[in-house]
Amino acid sequence: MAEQVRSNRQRELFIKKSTRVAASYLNRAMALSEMPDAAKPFFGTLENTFVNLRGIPLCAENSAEKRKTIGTLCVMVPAELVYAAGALPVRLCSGSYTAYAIGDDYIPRDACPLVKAVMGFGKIKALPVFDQCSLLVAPVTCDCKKKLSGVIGSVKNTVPLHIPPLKKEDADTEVFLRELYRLIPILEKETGRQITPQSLAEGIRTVGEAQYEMSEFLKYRKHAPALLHGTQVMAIMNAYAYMPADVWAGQMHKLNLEMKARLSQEHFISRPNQPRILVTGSPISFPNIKIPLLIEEMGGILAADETCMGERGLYDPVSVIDTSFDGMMRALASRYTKPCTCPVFVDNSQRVYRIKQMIKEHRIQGVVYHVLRGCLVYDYEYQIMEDELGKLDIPIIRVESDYNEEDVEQLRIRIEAFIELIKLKEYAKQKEAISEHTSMHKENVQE
Amino acid sequence: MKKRKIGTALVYFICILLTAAAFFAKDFVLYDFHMMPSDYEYKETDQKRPMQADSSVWFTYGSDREVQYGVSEGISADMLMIYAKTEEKAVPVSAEDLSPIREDLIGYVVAAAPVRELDLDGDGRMENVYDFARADFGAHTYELTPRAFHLQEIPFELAFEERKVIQVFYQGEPLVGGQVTVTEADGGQKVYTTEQHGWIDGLPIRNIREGFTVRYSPDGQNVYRMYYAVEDYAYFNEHFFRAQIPLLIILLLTAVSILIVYFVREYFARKDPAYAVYSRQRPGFDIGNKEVKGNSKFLLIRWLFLIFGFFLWTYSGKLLGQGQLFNQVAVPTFSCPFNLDQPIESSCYYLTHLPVLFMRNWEYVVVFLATLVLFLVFGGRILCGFMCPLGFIQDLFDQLRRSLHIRPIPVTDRMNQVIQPLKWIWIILFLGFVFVGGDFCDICPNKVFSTAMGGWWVNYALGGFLAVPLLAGSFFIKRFWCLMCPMGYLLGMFYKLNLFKLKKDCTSCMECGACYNACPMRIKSIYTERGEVTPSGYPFMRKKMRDDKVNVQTVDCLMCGECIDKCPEDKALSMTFCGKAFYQSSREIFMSKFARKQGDGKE
Repeated sequence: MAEQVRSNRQRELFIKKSTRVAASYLNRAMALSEMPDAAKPFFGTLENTFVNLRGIPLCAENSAEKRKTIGTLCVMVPAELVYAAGALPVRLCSGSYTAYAIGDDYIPRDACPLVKAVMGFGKIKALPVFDQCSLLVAPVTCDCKKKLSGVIGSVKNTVPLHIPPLKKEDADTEVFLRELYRLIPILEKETGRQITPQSLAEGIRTVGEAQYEMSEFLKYRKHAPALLHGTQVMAIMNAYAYMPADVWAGQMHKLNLEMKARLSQEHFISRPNQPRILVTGSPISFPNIKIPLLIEEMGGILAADETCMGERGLYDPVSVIDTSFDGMMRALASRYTKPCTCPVFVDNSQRVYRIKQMIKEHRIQGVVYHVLRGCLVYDYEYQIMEDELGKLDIPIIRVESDYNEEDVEQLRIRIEAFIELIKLKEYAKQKEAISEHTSMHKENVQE
Repeated sequence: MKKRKIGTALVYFICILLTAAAFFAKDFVLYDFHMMPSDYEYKETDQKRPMQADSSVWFTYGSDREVQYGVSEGISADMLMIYAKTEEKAVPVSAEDLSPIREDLIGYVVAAAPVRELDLDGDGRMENVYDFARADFGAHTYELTPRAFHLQEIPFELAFEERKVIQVFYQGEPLVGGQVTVTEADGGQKVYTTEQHGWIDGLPIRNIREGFTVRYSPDGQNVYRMYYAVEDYAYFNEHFFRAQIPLLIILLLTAVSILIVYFVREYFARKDPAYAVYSRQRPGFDIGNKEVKGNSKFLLIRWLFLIFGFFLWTYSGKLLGQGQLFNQVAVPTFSCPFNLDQPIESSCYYLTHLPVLFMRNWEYVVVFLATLVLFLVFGGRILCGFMCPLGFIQDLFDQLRRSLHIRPIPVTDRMNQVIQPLKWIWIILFLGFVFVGGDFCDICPNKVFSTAMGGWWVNYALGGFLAVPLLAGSFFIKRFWCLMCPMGYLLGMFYKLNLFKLKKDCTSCMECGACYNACPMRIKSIYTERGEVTPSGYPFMRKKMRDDKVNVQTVDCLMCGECIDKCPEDKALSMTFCGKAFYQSSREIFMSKFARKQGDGKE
């Protein structure tokens, strides 16, 4: 009895604290100047999920049929399959500081905070989005997630999804293909609906629509000076995890229209000389958006991100080669492993290429390399990233953080200094260009 | 691993079997038309004189291997003198020799009517009229025997030479610069002047098939007329449909083998845990799922090119009425030159019969080799992707499978390695078989398509049987034959010199592998290529510098453009001609197929 009372008290405390943190981060993100009106529904979703503690509306707009939600963890779970089974995929990778504190009791100290937060939500049962899910598909990616998929089975019906650590050989894709085929009956049993070739094609189309709007949106995001704040983009991308893809795509379409209008009116939210920064590394999931917030509050522009809660999950489209069922499944298996730049893959050199490509396209001037405490796989890749970006003369800073607010001030100083560094560098470059120009001019005059 | 060993052993076994069978290729008869001239029946026709027969004697062909002669009023059949050709020389023959036709005759017959005095030009004066008729019938193959008779009794004669032109002989010599009046197949008359070899240049080849008459009067007193008709047929008559029989047999066998492969595959797939899921998609016919279809105009253009190539090398010669336009120019595609209706022939006959090539005059050899090298070096395998009739047929079978919703057999990189020996065996047989006394045409699986479809009666040996695995293979594996095509390999050998190139911008590539999945030739380097310097250990072999735009073509690349169509990255892959990109991958085009349709009601 006393146990019950204690856990109830803990729950109340938890809800109070976590909603407060979520609300404060939401407000800070929304307070960034000139938020587009069309972005409001995304923030509304986040508010509903984390502040008002409501679940996802399970009925589609025009039907009374109740859909189930399937929880997923990494970007390797094909959302297309979940949609094809008539369910909604929800990404449960969490950034909650309060849930982290609870998960700390169940997960070893050195494990990453994201895993602890997921475990915390599993134990406390206070987040409806989490509790709605009837099934959790947990890819076996990094060590932390691997053990999590085993441990969380005690509180949630969990299916581990094996991800081959290599991806270049055909045999590896074949392994993942088998894995996806194994997943199908499990999903079907859960939702009671069969995955048919038609429904799978429809699923690919549903997610494809979101990816299409995303690719349209990226065109505006590439624009310098920026048309909207990167932190808000991070929030929008996080909202995708808790919204049906078609609803998200519809909102995104409106946002794109607004961006188009902003572009034609030359309504920019940044000055031309504001440093454009890319964030890469460990997942940045709401409400842990302190790093994007710090970057933008300190006068930088978060021009792009290469994180799995951000662009990565929606960037690569499914390229269906053969329209047979097997062909579509192969396309899915290929899409969810080969282009994935997650460092859990043994050979991940393509991440460097991806970042180089982003630097070129988004006109990036500096890279913030985010490492969550205990996130070894990302930490491994920092060295190679530093070497490669050094060759391009792009400054990079490694920022390690944890799920709490204690390190914010320290991070603030480091990020501020980094932004100053970029500014100085740009200034020196400009000065050099000017002096070259004037000296040339002088020579011309002398002649 | 065990599977792979079995596969390798199987491939080597097939290689040995193929080589062994090649030596006895003639004994495996798929279909024989019995095309010997001795099988023909020689008799008088009951039809009235065709309008193009300006002569008093003429030949026509019955539907069932009949050579019929006709004479106009005033002449009886016994007054005709008949001459025929054997392998060595031309001889006069009697009626007994022709019923049945003597074994040693090769199917060239000239009938000469007695000299008569007629007033043809209506000037009131009688002329001596010499009337002849000529028929060529029997096997349609490459004949190196001269067609002209050169007999004293036949002072004026016509011969169909070089599969393209009519040569006129007068008194045993080619008639140069003579004015001849030709009554063409449509009944119209036209005056031609013969060229330096005695050729009537510009006479549409259609005439030789339907019959025509050439009238020549050297002095106004003597008039020579010869009616000439090579055994031929129009499209969609009985002859044409009979030519399809071997093709139908092959298609039937193919259908049976496809069914066998399908059910054997189903049987073994039952052990697969995933079978319960993918077996739900039962085969059924529909035009494919439009939701996930590509939308590339380029691929449409490629289809148009393929259709064009197919018609060019199968029907166009006859439809355009020209026959061979460029006699010495040869294009290295797999289109059987036994079909003589090709405006430009395929070089495969002379490549597989190299000694025959050098029997021709040197001008021919030089032009042949020059055009071949030109195509090899500058064209390359873009011919395979865009022009090859066999490629077209394979693509059709692939489309058929797609619309039937049957899952393809995925070619893994290991499987591709395992079947490589087959390619080498084909190349050895292709170029070298003739030197050990063989004939590649007997084992060529392509022979049946161009010839039968074009309505040619050609006999099919082992090659006809090999066409069955080719078709069944291309049903399950896109461009199955191309994986081991010897002609394709020759074409691809000089890929570094080709004007058409497939370039990859390594900075744009995300290594998603869509290009590799789409590639029918399973070229893996296309998505793994990063343009890195690979130190080879030899200073002279080291790549010069790191290049972001790398040519990702290999000897296998067909330039089919499938990879570019399936590539979701902007300008990551591009096809270039002389360094200028004319087809590039585009994210916008790729993503636009996912765009919400307008008026979807979800706005």
